[in-house]
Order: sequence, then C-alpha cells, then structure tokens
Amino acid sequence: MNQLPTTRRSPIGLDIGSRYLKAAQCRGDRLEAALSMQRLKPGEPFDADEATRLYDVLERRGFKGRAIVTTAPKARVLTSVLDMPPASSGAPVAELARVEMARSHRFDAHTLEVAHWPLPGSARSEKGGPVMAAACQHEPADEIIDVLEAAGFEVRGLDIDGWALTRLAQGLLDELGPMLAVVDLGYHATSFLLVHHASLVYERVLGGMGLAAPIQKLQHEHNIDVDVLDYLFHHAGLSEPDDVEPGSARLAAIVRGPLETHVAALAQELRLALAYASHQYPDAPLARIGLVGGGAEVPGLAERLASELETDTAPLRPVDLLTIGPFAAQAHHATLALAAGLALYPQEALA
Amino acid sequence: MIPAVNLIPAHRLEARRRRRRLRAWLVATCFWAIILASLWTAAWVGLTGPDRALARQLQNAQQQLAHTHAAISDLRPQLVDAEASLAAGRRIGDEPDWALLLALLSRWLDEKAVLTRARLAPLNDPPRPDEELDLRQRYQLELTGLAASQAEVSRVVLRLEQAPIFDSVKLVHTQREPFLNDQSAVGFHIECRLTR
Repeated sequence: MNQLPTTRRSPIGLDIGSRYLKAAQCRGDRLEAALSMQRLKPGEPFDADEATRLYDVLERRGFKGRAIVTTAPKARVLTSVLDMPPASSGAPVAELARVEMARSHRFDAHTLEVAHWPLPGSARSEKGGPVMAAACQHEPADEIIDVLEAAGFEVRGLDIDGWALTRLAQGLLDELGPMLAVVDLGYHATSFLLVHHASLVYERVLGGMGLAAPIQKLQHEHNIDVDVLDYLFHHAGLSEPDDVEPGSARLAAIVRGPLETHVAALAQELRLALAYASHQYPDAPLARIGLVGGGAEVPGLAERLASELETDTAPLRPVDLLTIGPFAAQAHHATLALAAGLALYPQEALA
Repeated sequence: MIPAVNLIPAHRLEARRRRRRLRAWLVATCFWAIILASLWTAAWVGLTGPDRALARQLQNAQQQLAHTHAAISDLRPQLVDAEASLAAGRRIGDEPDWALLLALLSRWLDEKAVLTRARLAPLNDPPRPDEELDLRQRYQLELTGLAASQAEVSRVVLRLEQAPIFDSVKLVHTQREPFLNDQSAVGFHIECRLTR
C-alpha cells in the first residue's frame, strides 16, 4: 500500500527588521502562517522583552513549535569572494576560508563563523576556484541566539539574507531564466543580491540607501511625524497625483519630491551593481529585479526603477511563489519575503 | 540543491550536540534499565515464584501452629480445672443421696424412739458359691438408739422391715438403759442391709 506523503512544519523563519518583526512558517511549499508586527522599540537592538512578546504572539497566530531560523545580524555579516583551491585538491578549504576572511577583515579566526560556497559559471571561475564566503563574529550571533532562547525559542539556523531570498526566488529562476537580482529595500539600508543558477553569487549592501534617508529629511524639513511619513510613503509613494486620496494630496506632494530623488540615487547605485553582474556573467541576461523589504510596496517605486534600469522590476511576494494557508494573509506583501525564505531553510540542515 | 548556510557559532553547535547525545544516552540507558529490570523481575518470578509461595505457606502454617500451641497452653489450666470439676462431679454423682435415707429414718422413728448412732458401711462379704455374681454394692446400716418401750422398738423394726429399700432388717439386741434423770428407756441395736 502506498503511503501518503507527509510533510512536517518548517521552523519559523524570523526576520528581525529595525521597525518590524516578520515571521513565516511553511509546510512543504505551502506558507501556513505569516506575521508582520511593529517592534516595541524601533531601531533598538532586539531584546528579551520583544522576544517574549513575539513568542506569545506567534502562538496565537497559528505558528507551531519553537524552532527558529533567523538571519545573522545584517550589519555584522561580512561577505567576500575568495580564491580557493578546488575541493578536489584535498585542501582544507573551510579552514582556509576562515583564515582568509579573518585576515581580510582583521578579526581573530577563532571568533568567526564562516560559510562558503562555490561561484558557478563566473568569468573568474576560469582562473581557479573562486568561492563566496560569508562570516559572522561569534559575539553578535551569541547575543541574538541568547535573547531568542531565553524567550523559549530554539534557534536551529542562522542564515544570511541572500540565501533565504535565493530559496524563495527559486521558482522564478526556473520560470524566467538563470539570473535574477533581488533588491532588499530596508529602512536603513538597501541590499543588492545576484542569484545565478540557484546560487548566491554577489551581495552588496548600499549603506544609507534605505527609506530612512528621505523620511528623516522630510521630518527635519517639515516636522512631520515619522509614522505619518511612513504611511504616506506606503500609500501615496510615487503614485500619480490623480491616484492619491484627496485628503492626502498635499502631503503626498511633499513626499513625492524627496522620494523621487531617493529612487534616482538608488537606481544609480543599482546600475553599478548590474554592470558588475553583466561583466561577471556576460552569457546570462538578467531576467528580473525582485524587490523585497519595506520599500518594495511603495506605490510606483517598482515601475520607476524598471524605467530607470530598463529591466523588468516587480515586488517579490510570497503569495506569487508559494501556496498560501489561512493564517498567512500577510504573505501578499513583499515585506514577508525574507521570513518566508528563512522558513524554507532545508530541514536536513537544521542544527 | 541550494546549500544551507548556518552561522551559529561552532561552540554552540558542539554544546547542543553534547546535550542531545547526553539526552539520547539517558533515554537509552533508562530504556535498557527498564527492559533489564523487567526481564530480571520476570526471571525472578518465574524461577523462584513457586518456592517462595511454598515458603510463604510454610511460614503461615508455622505461625498458625505457634498460635495454636499458645492457645492450647492458655487453655490447659482451664482444662485441668474442668477435669477436676468433672471428676468431683462424677464422684458425687455416683454416690447415693444418703440424705434421703436419713429423712426416711426420721419418718420411721416416731416421737417415742430416738437414734443415738447411725452407721452406714459397705459390705464386703464374699459371695457364696451358689449365689450368682452380683456386682452391685451392698451396705449395712447400723442403727443404735433408745425407745420408750420394748413395744416401741418392735414398731420401729416393723416399720423398717416394711420399708422397700432394705433387703433385711435384724434386731441385734435390746436392753434397758437409764434415760434422762429417773426414767429408763429400751436401748436397741438394729442392723439393716440394703443394696444400691
């Protein structure tokens, strides 16, 4: 007798942003639960109070279990492309990568946790065995794990954003082509990721290119509350004036100018990153730029970037890539993309 | 297959592995301990169960025996008393009620005759050769007394002879004897035989 396939629930994918906490949980390729909640202390380090509150909320919102996969603190993750001997040579590539990362970033090798993976099909691959490595110091990793485990969670994986988003975008790669760029429009920074043949091959953090820059500028110039500005960014954004609610038209007009300036500067930075991609992978045309993070849902932003970069650009929403369960209504937003990607962490690799 | 990056510090992973290994060992140890204990218990019960039951029964019997001995010891004095009472009762019960004889005697002697002595003694005469063996006890009642006159003595003898309890009545002798101050009376001695 054939047995029905059974799939157990994934660990909870947790994306700790500076203003929002995002969580998702899957069963196979079905997103069973998703949550986005505002942080108690925006911009401050994630602490035990917030972890305890999160634990209680998740329980009520359809999440099961206490296993967590989250990301290493973004600001403390170091990435580099290293030239390594091929694994077939028998050289201790992992140890060499650790030492090389410690040397290049001037850390003690014993305080670093390093992961590395080969870069497929790049121009550099012909010269030897390039690998991409990501590293995180033990201290910040221990801090976030201690906070979560004190609240009752069990941290089973400490991933990096790039791989979590790569897993989520896997379906798009199969559909559109071998090369995909993902732009994470965060509040304080924007990250550019290049995914090639289901492998993360390039990551660049554009510091100061988050939405915080135009918001703080407007707050300073017009003395408007941050929450009001955030609302305007996400409801008016770069929409045409006719599309804005009548009562918000004046404020939307105030927001529009700085936001356009910000997007233009962002497009300029992204152009450089895309140039690098086309140089490294000349035979793999970029299929799409997927937008994730809080800025991805700013009205008109994707269209503006698509126009500036002359590339197909669209929010990368979990709802477009996964089956959605009854507790995952918030999966319609691209802000949940990273959490969903973390929830797709391979269960056989859990610690 | 997309590789998985895990930047959890190695010392944490090692500590977690150790905890899991310890937990697994504990679970396995407890499991096998339970299995071994069950097997040992089953073997012990299987191998020594009947002997133990027998020993328990023997011990119970010994205890009951001891209790019984103690009860017997407690009852022995009462038994001795009861036996003594029974023997006394039997001795008394086998004897005739001589008070009845005395009561009859007082009825047969009227106011003109008094007894000064009455003696009842068993007779141990050897049986005669022509007599059938008679195991009944024979007695002789000797009556000595005084009567107002010879005629009165005769009436007493007559009454005794008429009494159904005597086998024979024999006036052994009579004689005149002083009685009180100036009066005289006829002394008599009568032997009566009776069979129980």
